[in-house]
Amino acid sequence: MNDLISKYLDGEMTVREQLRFEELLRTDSALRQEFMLQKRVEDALAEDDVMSLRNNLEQIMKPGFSKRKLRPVIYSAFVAVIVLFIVVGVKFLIPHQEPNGEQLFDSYYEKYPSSLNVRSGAEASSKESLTHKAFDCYEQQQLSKAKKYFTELLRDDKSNHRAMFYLAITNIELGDFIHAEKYLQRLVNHSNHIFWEQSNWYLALLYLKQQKYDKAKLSLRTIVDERLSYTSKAEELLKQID
Amino acid sequence: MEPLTTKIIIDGIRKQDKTILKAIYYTYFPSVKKLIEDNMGSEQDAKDVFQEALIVIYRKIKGGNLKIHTTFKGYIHVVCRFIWLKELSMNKENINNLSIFLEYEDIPEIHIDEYKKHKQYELYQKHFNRLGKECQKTLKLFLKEKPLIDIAKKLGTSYEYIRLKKKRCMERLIRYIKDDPDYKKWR
Repeated sequence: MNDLISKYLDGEMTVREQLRFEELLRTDSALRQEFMLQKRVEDALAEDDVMSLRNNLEQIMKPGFSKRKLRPVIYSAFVAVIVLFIVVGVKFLIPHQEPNGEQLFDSYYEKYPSSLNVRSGAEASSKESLTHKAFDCYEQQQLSKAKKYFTELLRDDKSNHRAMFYLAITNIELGDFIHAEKYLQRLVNHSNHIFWEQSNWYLALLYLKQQKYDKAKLSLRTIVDERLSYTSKAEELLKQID
Repeated sequence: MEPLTTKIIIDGIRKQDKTILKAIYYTYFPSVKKLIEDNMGSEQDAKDVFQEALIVIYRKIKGGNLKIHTTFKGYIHVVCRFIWLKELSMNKENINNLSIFLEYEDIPEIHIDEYKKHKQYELYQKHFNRLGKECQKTLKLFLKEKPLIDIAKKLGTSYEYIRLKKKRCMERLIRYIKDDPDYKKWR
């Protein structure tokens, strides 16, 4: 649904597609609601002047230190102290039980689905054809071949984040955790690609699998703090290993 | 300094002149603060209301439909009173008690739909500021020059990458907005 809306708002539909979409808007109230929301959001974000005025006013009003800002700090500090007492108390009273990283990995790990939906035609370039071969093998669980093709793609273009990500997942599937971790770490270190969220998640799972709990916690906390797509699962896992 | 006339105030708000904005704040905020504190609000509530009132007024100036038939002090009071009443009426517990504190009155200066739109935009812009710098930049670029292919060229990246990046950022923003309890209030 969101794809259709974006395509329409981005002006990337043909006239026929536009007409069909507008007809859908008339009949589908859920779509209409989503469309209106996205349109209003775009209009609101275009208001640079209002956002700048709000910033200016906030600056001007800042010196009169507000009660509301102060109260939560004191309150949070108080809550933090209480929680600390409880946590310390519980740690001493109840024997510590190690989390089982392998089991957690097995419960949460799922092979990432293939992201290649369009099949290449007769005139596909050699890179496109290699990409298709890699994804075909990945989908059909011919993982050694998939690994070979993704590695070739990455060798030809070191900034091919998609190939790097799928190579990491293929390595996990093959049980080669050292290489999987290496590629995922590289992906996590640069956030300017579309597999960044997924990479954080799989790296966290990989750390769990290898019982590197401190690193797993750090990765999971990044997911929660950044409110990435896997936030609720990351929160569940953090509860279990903390 | 020149006396703070209504004309100077309106020009100052239009141009976002910080000196005039400060003067407006120091001159008119104390009485607004009293109004809010006398009616179940805190100092921070008063600041929030005052800030939103100035933005409502700015939008009216920009749209060319600001009509002040009284002093600016009287006008900003009416607007603040309206905003605070709306805020109070959003809380079910307050609805029955409203008349005790303030009499609800029709305010021709602000249409309710106009205020609803103002609140929606405030919510969207607040969550936009929560996004990472990269996402903010991508969405802003997208709004300034629509064809994604042009943005991709400008950033030296591929069309597919920028399309997915824009989609991911917009999805995150919409998720933040929908998770906000105020989203349902002003939908």
